Amino acid sequence: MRDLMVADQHQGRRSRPRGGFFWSRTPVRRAGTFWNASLLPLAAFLAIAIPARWLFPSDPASQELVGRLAPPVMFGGDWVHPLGTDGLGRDILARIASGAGLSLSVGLLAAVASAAIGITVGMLAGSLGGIVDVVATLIGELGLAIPTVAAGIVLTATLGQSLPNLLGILIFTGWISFARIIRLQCRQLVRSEFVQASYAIGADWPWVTVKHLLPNIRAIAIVLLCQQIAAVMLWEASLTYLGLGLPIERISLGGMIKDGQVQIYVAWWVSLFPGIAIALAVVGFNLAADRFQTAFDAAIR
Amino acid sequence: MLRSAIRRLILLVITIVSTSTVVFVLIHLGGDPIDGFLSPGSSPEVREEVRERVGLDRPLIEQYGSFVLGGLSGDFGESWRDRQPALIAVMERLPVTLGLAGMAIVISVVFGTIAGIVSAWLEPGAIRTGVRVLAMLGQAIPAFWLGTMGIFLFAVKLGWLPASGADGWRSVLLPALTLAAYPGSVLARVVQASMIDVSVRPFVATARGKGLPELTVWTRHIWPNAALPALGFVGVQAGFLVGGTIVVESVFAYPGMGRLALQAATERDLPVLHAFVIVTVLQVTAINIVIDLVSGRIDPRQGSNARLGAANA
Repeated sequence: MRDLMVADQHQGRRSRPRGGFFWSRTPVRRAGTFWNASLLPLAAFLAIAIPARWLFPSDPASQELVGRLAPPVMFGGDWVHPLGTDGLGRDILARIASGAGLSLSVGLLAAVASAAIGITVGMLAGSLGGIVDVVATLIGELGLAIPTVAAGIVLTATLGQSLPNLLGILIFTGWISFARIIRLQCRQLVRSEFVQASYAIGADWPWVTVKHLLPNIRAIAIVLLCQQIAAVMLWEASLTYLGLGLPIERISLGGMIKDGQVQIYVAWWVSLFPGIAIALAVVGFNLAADRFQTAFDAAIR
Repeated sequence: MLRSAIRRLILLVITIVSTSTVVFVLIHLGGDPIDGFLSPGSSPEVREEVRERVGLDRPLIEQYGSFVLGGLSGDFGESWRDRQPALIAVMERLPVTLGLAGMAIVISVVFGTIAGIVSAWLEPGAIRTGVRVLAMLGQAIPAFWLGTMGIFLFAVKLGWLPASGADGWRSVLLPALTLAAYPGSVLARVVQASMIDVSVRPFVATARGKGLPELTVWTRHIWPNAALPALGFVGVQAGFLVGGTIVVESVFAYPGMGRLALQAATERDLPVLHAFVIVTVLQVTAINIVIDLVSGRIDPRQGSNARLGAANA
């Protein structure tokens, strides 16, 4: 009996998945645990972006012309500027922290606004059908024909470069993916048996929308929101790099890479680290989206 | 096929008219259109002369009419800066941009599809995971940063490739690879997921059960069914590819359309800007038409079904 139990325990230990999240060989899904290692990149980025002011006391805007282009710690630099300094002697780590915070706020703001618009339009189009659906689909297709960068170029050339204009561009091109997917989802739901039954016993449109449609698109909306935050942060950086996004006086990751590109021949670290920060954020939010998707799939089963 | 072509054409006209309208409204919302073009200290006589030359002295409604009609007919007026027709200015740069985009498409389709197929065909393991990780990174790394690092590595450190400009095939290599990273990664991910998804469907088991060789099962049964959602996905990404070209051109000082547009934006050369936006819309539409045609070829049913299925944009 005791031997058996030991064998059992032994077996139990061996059958556990080996390795970490990227290289786990066995596709084991433990339903119920949401937190796992795939959320680490996001946590790392948030740890840089949120406590910026308290964690890195050096002023991201203070210039130190004697300490220009100081290399990072492992490459001959010192711990005063762990990631080195840029062409004006500003601390890169402090600037990344500050820029990441701004990037994150822009990403959250634009993605949430896109979600609000897109989900509203998608639900109206998907559940009402008819002319509303036709018009909404048409507007969506029109929007998809204009690339984000082209919209950015036109808006910057006419109304100028500012934070509200940047948000405008990101929302203008961002709501469409929400609307398309939510519309499809609602169309399927409206045709499904339980919604039809609800209508049959006398429910009206607002009741069905609030009681049946909303709860059923919540999961996909959260997944989409995470993906959208990642996409928006990538676009914000790209637009800022092109001189179409955040104004030059704001500290931003895209702007830092742009500054660093001029110095690429002498100082690679100026543009290397901000890029890693952006990639960390995008990977983080995309993995979080995957994580939500898996969790919701598991919950349905 | 004809119906979808007509639909696309009507949609194109509506797109051009509404895009022109939005651009027109934005131009006039931003104050006097010639303010940004002229230097602030220019005399009233000069302002009047320019205003007359570019037709801003006409009534607003007349300006709007010719603006929209210009968008439809390709007559955008003369570039304010060098006085050649704006469309010509854009078209001169178009081949350079198309060459770059075309090369990037080829690279991303070849590598993305192969990586997706091979990793789906192999059992779960190191290669599949590796492709997944690479694709995830490829989607997360900003193109302009990747390009900058490429310049550092291949031009500054190794000296293999030129850092900027466009002369010879060596100078197109780095920009094209940079541009291909994102769509290639997306494609690898979508193809992989789609192939794995299809490979467990009952009809695949049937195909195996009736004794077909494994290669035939994959090429004739799994691949065509998996390719359709992937294609639909590429269609949604068309705008991204066109936009990404502008970013990459800017990184490598590549003399394409995007650079022209950025320059026109700083100088507020509005006819060139208008021409650029419309040509961009045409590019996106052209890519979508090609995808419609190809998916119509692959799928004996209507291609549009598959496009609706590609939900995850």
